[in-house]
Amino acid sequence: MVTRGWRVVGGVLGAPFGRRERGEFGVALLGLLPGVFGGLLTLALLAAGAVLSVVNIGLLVLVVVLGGVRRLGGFHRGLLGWLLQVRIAPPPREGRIGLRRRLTSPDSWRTVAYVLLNTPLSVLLFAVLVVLRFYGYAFLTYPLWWWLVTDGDVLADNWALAFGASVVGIVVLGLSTWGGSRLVALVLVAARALLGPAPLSARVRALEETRGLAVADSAAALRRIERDLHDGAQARLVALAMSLTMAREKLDEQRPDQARSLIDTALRGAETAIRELRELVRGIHPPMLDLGLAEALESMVADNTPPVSVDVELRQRPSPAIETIAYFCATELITNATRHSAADEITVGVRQEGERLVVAVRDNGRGGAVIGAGSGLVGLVSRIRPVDGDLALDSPRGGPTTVTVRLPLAGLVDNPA
Amino acid sequence: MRIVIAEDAVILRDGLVQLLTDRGLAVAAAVGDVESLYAAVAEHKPDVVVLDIRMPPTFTDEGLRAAVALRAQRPGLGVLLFSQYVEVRYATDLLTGNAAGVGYLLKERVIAVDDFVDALRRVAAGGTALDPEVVSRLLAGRRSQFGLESLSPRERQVLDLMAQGHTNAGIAQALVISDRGVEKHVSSIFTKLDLPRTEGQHRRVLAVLRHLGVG
Repeated sequence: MVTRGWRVVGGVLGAPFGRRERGEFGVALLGLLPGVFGGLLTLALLAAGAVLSVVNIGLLVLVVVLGGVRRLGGFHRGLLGWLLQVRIAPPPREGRIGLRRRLTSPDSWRTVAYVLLNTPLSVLLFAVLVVLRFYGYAFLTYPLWWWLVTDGDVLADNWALAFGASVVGIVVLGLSTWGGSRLVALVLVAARALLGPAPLSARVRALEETRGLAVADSAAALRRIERDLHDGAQARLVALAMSLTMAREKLDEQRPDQARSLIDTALRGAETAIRELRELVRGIHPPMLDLGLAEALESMVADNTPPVSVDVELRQRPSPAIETIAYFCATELITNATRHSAADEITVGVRQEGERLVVAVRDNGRGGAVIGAGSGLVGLVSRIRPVDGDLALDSPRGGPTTVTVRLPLAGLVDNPA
Repeated sequence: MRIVIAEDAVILRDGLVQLLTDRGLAVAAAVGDVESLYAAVAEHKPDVVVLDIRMPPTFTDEGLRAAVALRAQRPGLGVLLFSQYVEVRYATDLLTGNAAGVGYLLKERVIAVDDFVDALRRVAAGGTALDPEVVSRLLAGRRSQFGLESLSPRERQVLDLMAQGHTNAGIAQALVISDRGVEKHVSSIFTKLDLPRTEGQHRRVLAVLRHLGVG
């Protein structure tokens, strides 16, 4: 009983110096100004944007404000992570999306909600953990002050009252610690709900969207193959049959020279058709992919100018679907680098990071690449998103450019081709 | 020259048999999968086997693996691999160790029947026949690595044809120059690339291939 009592007293007095309490105190101290001003500024700017939104400039203001709010959310996440070791994953990056989607982004508005909610909370937190604690210490040490300060107004004029103030101080300190940690818990609940990744409903929306992309992508691929066959091999075979028919007629008419030239034409047509079909087949599924990603990539880059060095380091073989996507990502990125970067060296690295397959294509070219504006990267993003892949671009002006594609090692749909 | 053919597409198999028979070549057997190929080779003891790379059951590289296995079993058996596409990697796999009596051609090369039969004869006689496409891929982009910059354009043409497996007479005919002219170019190539002097045209082809990183 006695030990427990001492522990309570020790808790009340010593608590502010524990690691966790220090962190909570830090949050209260450092979070006040960003909390108050961030919230008020956000409110004011959003209101201004809303009023201005009758003209287009208002929408632009709103987009900028939302961008700023997301940064502020990042600051809060960082603060909580640093002081309380509470790691909150950021919501997915928005990348290049349209104005409308930027304005209606649930992640941005959840951050706004946090920033506004955080304004009163940060004031309360500061009051409880900083101001109240200050008074707690002042009361606790009252007898000292009373003894030291001999003139002026004094609250207590005898030892009993002075020590009574001390007791009050202890109670206040205890309240401050207790209330502070409750408040911090509340802040954390809000932060997790509003600053973290979107809840399930948003995930469902993302899945719906990427499923749409996947369906559209495969439909487009089928249409492309159909068109290639229709305009290419099919047309050539018809022409070839026509040449042969005419050649037979010429033979019937005893004109072997003309027949021979028609047959030559037919032969050339057949050779072209074969070549076109080979290219088409390679575009659908490169045969070397059966042996593995390294073999397929090495075969693909063998006669590339500039030279490409391939380095594949995988502990386990990815699923066929992922291998195919990784292969086409790499070839697309190599083609981009070859065509647009003016690089004289390209490197492709494929490695495993946990359960992720990471494909990094780097060139020493002129840099300045962007996602969008027909760069081909948009198509890549829509191809990898259905399997929960993501793409990062690092391309400062003057180079070098590195594009990193991350894919899950095992696909969502995992049936061998 | 006794020939066994392994090709799973019936239309191509029959066409090939007809084409070769028309030229007076003896096709001992034509089969559609690897198991029957082993049986046919054991039964007919051919000089050369023409086989597709993609065959049942997995349609990936059965033919290639069968070719490697057959050559291990029966040294001296010529193997001509025959495919819709060419891959340098397959050529390397096939030529590694002993490149004598090996061929790797695109299927459409049968259209030029004379060249195809010539390639088949070379392979049966222990020579090589590499598709021009394989050779150009081998040479592309890696010129400096092989020291090919020192070669004159004509010498590069000769090297290209040598790598395909052509004999001096074949090269002379293709470039419309004299045999002696070819001989001079070949000798110059060997000097410039610092290749060991060997007697016999097949051996020289192998030396060139080894220099290019295959075989």
